[in-house]
Amino acid sequence: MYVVVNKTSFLYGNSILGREVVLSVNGLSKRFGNVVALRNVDLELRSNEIHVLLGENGAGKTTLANIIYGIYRPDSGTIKFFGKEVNIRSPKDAISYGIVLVQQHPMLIERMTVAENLALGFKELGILSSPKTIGRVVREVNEKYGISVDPEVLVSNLSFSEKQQVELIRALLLNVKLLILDEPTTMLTSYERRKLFSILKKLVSDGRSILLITHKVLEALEVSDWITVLRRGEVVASRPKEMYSVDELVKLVVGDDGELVSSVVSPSKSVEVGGNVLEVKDLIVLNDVGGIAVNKVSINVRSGEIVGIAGVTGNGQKELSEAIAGLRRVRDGRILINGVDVTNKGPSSRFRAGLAYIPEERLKYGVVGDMSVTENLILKDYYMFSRFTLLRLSDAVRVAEECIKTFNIVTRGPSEKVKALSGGNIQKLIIARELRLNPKVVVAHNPTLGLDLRSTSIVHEQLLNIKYSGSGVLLISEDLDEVIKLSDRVLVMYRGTIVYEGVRGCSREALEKAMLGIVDV
Amino acid sequence: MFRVKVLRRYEVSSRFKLVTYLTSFIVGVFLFILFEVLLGANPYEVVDRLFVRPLTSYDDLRVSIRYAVPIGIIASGLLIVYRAGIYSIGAEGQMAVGAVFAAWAAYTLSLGSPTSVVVALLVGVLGGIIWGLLPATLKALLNVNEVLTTLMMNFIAYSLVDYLIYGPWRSPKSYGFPLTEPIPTVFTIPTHDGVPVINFLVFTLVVFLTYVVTKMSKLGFQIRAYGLNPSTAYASGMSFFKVVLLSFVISGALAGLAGALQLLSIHHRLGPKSWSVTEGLGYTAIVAAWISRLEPLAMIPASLLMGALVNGGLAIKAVLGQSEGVVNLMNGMILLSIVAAEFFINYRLVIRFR
Repeated sequence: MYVVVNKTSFLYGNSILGREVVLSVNGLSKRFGNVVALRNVDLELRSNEIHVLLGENGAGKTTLANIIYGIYRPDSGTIKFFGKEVNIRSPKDAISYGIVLVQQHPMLIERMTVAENLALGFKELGILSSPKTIGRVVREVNEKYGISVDPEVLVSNLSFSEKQQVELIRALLLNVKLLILDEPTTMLTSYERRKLFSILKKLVSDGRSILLITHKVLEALEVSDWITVLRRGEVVASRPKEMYSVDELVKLVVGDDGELVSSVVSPSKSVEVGGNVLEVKDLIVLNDVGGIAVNKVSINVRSGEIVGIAGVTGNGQKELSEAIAGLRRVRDGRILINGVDVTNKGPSSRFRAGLAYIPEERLKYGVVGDMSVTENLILKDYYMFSRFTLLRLSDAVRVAEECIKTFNIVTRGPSEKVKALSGGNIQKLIIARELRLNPKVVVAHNPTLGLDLRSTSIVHEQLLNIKYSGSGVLLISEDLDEVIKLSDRVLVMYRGTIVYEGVRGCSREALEKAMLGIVDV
Repeated sequence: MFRVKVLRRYEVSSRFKLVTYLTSFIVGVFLFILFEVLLGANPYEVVDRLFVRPLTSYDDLRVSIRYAVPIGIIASGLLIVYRAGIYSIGAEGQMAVGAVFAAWAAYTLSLGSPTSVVVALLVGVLGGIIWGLLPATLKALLNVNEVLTTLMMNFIAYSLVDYLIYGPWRSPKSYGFPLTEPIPTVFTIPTHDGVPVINFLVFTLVVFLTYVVTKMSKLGFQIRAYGLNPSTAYASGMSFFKVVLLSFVISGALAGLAGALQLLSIHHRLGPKSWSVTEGLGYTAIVAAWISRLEPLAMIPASLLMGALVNGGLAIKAVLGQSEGVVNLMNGMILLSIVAAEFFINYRLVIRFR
């Protein structure tokens, strides 16, 4: 009897012996125009394994996942699934093999119940098609994997993490063998993240495999069995988790200029705090279905300070930020920007009063995907680039080149369409546009959502620079660490009201409790 | 047995798009020819009358240009509203009202030789703008669907013309036909050997101006941003009201201009359906706008092509003794296949035999 020992198991010992290779990717390459997204990528994924694909924005993680899921076709290279070469031409093909991708943002119909959502598109399952039967199956799955989703509840009433769990249940109903998760934790609180990871661990102990995409080093070490690091489209390391140290992993992810990242901004410089640049008085705002989302909220932001608003997703932060930006009508109360009453006026009056807005939904409210980098950078002050009422984009191109350099935007050039940029680079572009206009107050909603280390530190540095230059910042973020790190004052939002106010250095525990609605009186 | 699967395309090259659009145009024309063959026509004759003669024989080419000019002027305006993501189909009515206004100017004002034409044209432009204002305001203030309102306005415009030609403006000398008096000769625009040269020059000027507006102006920038992502355009402080209103004003003005030009240079009087100034060209212009892929410079070949097809369609109608609907049928088939091209650009069909 022969034991076949392949190269990897020879190198990494017995821990992977006896575990079947589920997915093996060989020599995969993909170009978009002149940009090489993936170069000769090899990947091996075994059963019962959480395999983390780690890398910065634009490293090619999502491209690789999309190829495995059949959204893109590779230029060259092969994909083997359970030892057999497969030709995956569409997500439908992928699903028929048992490969399911869970997108960063859950794709569910808000006005339907969980069971109805799951019943959609399940003709393969025959008898399962009725929502009633689905409901029973959901409860079974819930029990088995520690998921807690009520199948009868409307999706619009679910939190982000619950919607994500619905996607997991859908994958399980599809008989998933390989589950791909694209940045699943960006919108989760630490508690929700731990819960997700415990579900994922149960999933792989049942013989499934998971390919998890993230840009967070610590998260990769926390959850994975195996880590593959991608950098600029190439695999730079692929080993079991135990064979990495944190420092080494950071270096592998970032590359040669790793020092850039370690210089974490410390908000030590002191600035004079001045008058109010943003006043929100007794604000009442409704959500999309007419319920009260923001209930009598009052906030003051003074020049030279950063006010953070912490809270679990869905407690009115979205409606608050949209109301301040002029994208959502105010039911009652007032909004003053730099002393100017802009309540229920359009976005342009706010922008003229000195408001800059970094929206959470960047693709919807931040950029025009089919316009160029230059055009998007001048979207708010395009009229400055004109002569005799005609646009002169040549000046704008120079501005764009400067922004690309300062904010480290990875793009083929000023004339590239924005939809071709990665999420992190789109965010950098939006921030570049907003900050270029020397605002009096910046409202930033989840400004580093989905950004890599380097981009995050650029954004943080810029927010602090705004403060030092004498403007105010309202930072609405679901990332508590970010809020604590940058804010001079922290407000906690819970069910549409401000339930807690802390100053710099207040206890994290108190904030976390307040986020869950537990406030000590 | 076989199964057809519809799969989404994720990457589309611009060359593939171009080829698909050209193919779809040819398919649309081919379907029309097929239809003619089913009606008993000789396919060679259909192709000859439809394509070859209107573009090659001098006599026919003159008529083709006569149609191409108003089509091109109107489509240049439509291109601007379509770029803003507004689907106006009201050019036909705006064109008719433009002609009515120009006719009013010709009947009531008495001016010198070149001024009279210019004034009548400007009054026509005003008529087109006014006809577009109601749907524009409803859209800009209340976001009322412009497809319905502009279509309704077309019928109101037809009724207005009918009222005038059967009522107050009916000529006593037209032997009972519902026609108006010919306009005074000072108000007519001369044609050269049947070719409306001045109109053609106006058309090239319009093409140039739409190029400037769409590609080089601030308004064009706002229009494009609204057409591509209205949420971001709004959040960036661009005025929805202004973009909707101005794009409607431009397209209304050009449709009104086309109506006035047709009246002053070709028809000289208002008449009922079959003798109408618009001749349905306000609808044909919709097809021309989409054939141009909303590119201003492509409007010249696109409108020449549509002008030739209208001319050829009418010739077929006359030669083969078919009904009024032939040209509409052809327009519809071409537009339908161009719309279908959008589907083939976004999806591909996979046919599997079992």
